[in-house]
Amino acid sequence: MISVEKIKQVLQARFGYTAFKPGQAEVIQAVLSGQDTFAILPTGTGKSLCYQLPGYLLAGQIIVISPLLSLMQDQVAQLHYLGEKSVLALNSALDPVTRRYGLAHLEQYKFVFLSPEMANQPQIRQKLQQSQIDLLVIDEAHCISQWGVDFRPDYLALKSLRTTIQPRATLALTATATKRVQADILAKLGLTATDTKQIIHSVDRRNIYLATEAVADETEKDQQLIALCQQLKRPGIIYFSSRQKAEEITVLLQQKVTQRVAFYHGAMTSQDRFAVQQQFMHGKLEIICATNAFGMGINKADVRFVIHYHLPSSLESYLQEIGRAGRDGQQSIAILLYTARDFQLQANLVTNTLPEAALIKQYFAHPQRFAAAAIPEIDLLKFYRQHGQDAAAIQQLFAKRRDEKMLALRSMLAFVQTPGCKRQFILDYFTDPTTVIHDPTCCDATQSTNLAELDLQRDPTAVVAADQQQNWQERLAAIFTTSPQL
Amino acid sequence: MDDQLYLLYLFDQNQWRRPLAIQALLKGKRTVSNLYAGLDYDLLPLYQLLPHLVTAKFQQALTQLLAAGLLVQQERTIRLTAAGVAVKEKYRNKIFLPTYYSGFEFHYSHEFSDRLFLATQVVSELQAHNRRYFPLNVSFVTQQRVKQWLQQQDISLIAERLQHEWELLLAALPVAQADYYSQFLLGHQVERATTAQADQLAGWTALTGELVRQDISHHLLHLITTQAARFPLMATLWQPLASGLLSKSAAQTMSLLQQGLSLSMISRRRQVKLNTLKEHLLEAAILLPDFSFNTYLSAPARQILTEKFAEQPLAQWRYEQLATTKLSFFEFRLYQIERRKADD
Repeated sequence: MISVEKIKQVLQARFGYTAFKPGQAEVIQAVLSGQDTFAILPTGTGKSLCYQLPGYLLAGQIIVISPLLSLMQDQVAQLHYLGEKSVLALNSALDPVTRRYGLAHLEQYKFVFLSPEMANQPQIRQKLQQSQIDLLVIDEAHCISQWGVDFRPDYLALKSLRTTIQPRATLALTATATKRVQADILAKLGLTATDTKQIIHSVDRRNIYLATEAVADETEKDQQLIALCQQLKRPGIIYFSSRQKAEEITVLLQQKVTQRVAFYHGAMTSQDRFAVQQQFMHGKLEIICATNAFGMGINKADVRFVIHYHLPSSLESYLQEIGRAGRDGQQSIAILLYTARDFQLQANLVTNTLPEAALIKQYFAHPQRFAAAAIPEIDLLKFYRQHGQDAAAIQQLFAKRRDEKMLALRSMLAFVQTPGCKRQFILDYFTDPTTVIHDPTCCDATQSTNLAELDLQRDPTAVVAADQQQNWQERLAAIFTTSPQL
Repeated sequence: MDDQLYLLYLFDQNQWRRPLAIQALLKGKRTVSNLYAGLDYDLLPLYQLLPHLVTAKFQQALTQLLAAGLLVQQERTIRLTAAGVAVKEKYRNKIFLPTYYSGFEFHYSHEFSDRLFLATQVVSELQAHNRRYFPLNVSFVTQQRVKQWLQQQDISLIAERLQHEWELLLAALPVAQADYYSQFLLGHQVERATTAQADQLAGWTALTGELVRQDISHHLLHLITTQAARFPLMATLWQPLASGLLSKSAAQTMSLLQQGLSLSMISRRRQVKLNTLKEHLLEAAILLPDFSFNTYLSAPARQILTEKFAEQPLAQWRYEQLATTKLSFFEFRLYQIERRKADD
């Protein structure tokens, strides 16, 4: 048994903290004692530390299954930042040379991050089987349920992965899971409620004020967005469902609000994404116009607002995204702008990632004709076909899945339309037992949002000095003549 | 300045050119047919100039220029109209055309930029005695190479030396280009710009920005490789990436041929089809300045070819005209390449 003192010592030495955030210590102690653990900790409370820290107290390897490439890159970057060099990330974005090298030396790395697809490759499984795995982490475990069926069928094979590699302990981590999803996560990982330590904290983030604003049309939405960006304390993030819109609004805000705004989405090169993150972290950018590619691992503490320009696809996504605000505990705000058309727009996006009945039929009639197709829908069908499902079963599966997705979207709409306390609505949705004490700092259910009272009003006289445009000589001097850090 | 006008500089008023071949060349698709088109159109150095070119965008730009009457189409080929020539002339000073870019010579220039910018960041942080930072997001191989490179250097002098080399390099560029390129430098408490930000600052479109970046990086590599003594740090960073003009496989074939092996021997040894080896030879014939045509084209074959095509412009040659002879397509193409090169 590893003592609490020892754990705290590592916390301070490796991570520079003197105290744990709620839930962290409990989770760490559980996994260190070899206990399978399921933890729901609210966004922004340092979930990564729950597997990073045990890495320094366990002899074997830590395997982290991570659903999103961007998230994985952020997590690896964080470990590098902390000075950890023994980190390997295997995913589809790797060049073949690196992949071969990583695979050949897999057992030498302390922290190994894998996409679910990689974790299912026989050669990787075989390698893992030969290694001593002290902790298997399923990060963003709600993806097993939320995305497992449509985007990431490979998640379904995690149960057999556990059986194959026999980790000393398994840790499923998420910030958002309804009761149904919680049960689903346990089942899909082959864990049982009785043998798994469940550490469940309230999903509520009390310091984030919740507001929704109906607008007549896109023009009014843009005007309202500009007004909000002028009034609100910064920095802030604006989320979009469309890359193009994120770029367009960036230009608009540059003209009307501040030059310190940039867009961020998955179609940018990794270097450009890196540049935006770096500028945002260092305070050079005040507003980011982003798609959901931005930020599961973004660890900026002082984000004051998150605005949704489009309707999120589910309350889970909404909660994840607004959770990037106020990690420093200070008052922050989440504002969702919507028009009557937004629901249909999102409904189209939500359902068109699932294969249509006609495509399913066609595929099963002539699978070989689709051999070279690089379409996600076909990959999905291929996966199910290889796992012995027939067209009718799959059609039923997707029809059900479409219904579920629409249901999730409708609950988002219900949230927008609820006349009651919005915070309570979210807690009820996640069957969180917390009872909200509704007051003017909670949400806009009973009064209109007063930014001044929330202390979120930007000082109108505050002028941000424009960035001095440096010539190349000045930039070189800044790079190389640095004063040592104290 | 509209990006699509750049396309006018890839077409000619007299020569009918295949847009698909030009597109493939820009994207870096190395087939003999694309390479020959590059040779024939005098566009070979533009190989891989726009590796991320989106087909739909290219097509859309062509459609616009055709509709505007600046280009004219005949089956699968296109050429400039008189109006197209006039517009091309009008914009000659307003559009950026790469001058240093040399696609085959510096095949791994992107990889080099990654290494150089990461190395610069690491040195800057080292100088600041800071160990906690996010290194530039580059491939694992690049990280390893930069690490190895760093281990070979004298750490106490590296910042000063690298700064000096950067100064020499950037001073060699036009000021606007040096200022632009320096936006991508990053280091201790210095953030790099995104390409969109740097383009905006310079007042360039995305395409102009990309063309400028490509040209700068090849310009710098040209300096680093021709004046290696002035750039010892950067030269050692580039050295492992230097490759010949040929693809790896073609280079291997040529090397075995030089050792005296016949094509059929090479085919057996390398488990590569004879036709593929002939494509390697054609690639070498197109790209190498000193390719020995006589070795692969017999005197009788050459005589037939010379007689057959004596009175005909090169663009009209068809392999079908050789139907009554026993000559192969390989021989036909090889002769065509030789003649095309002699025309220059």
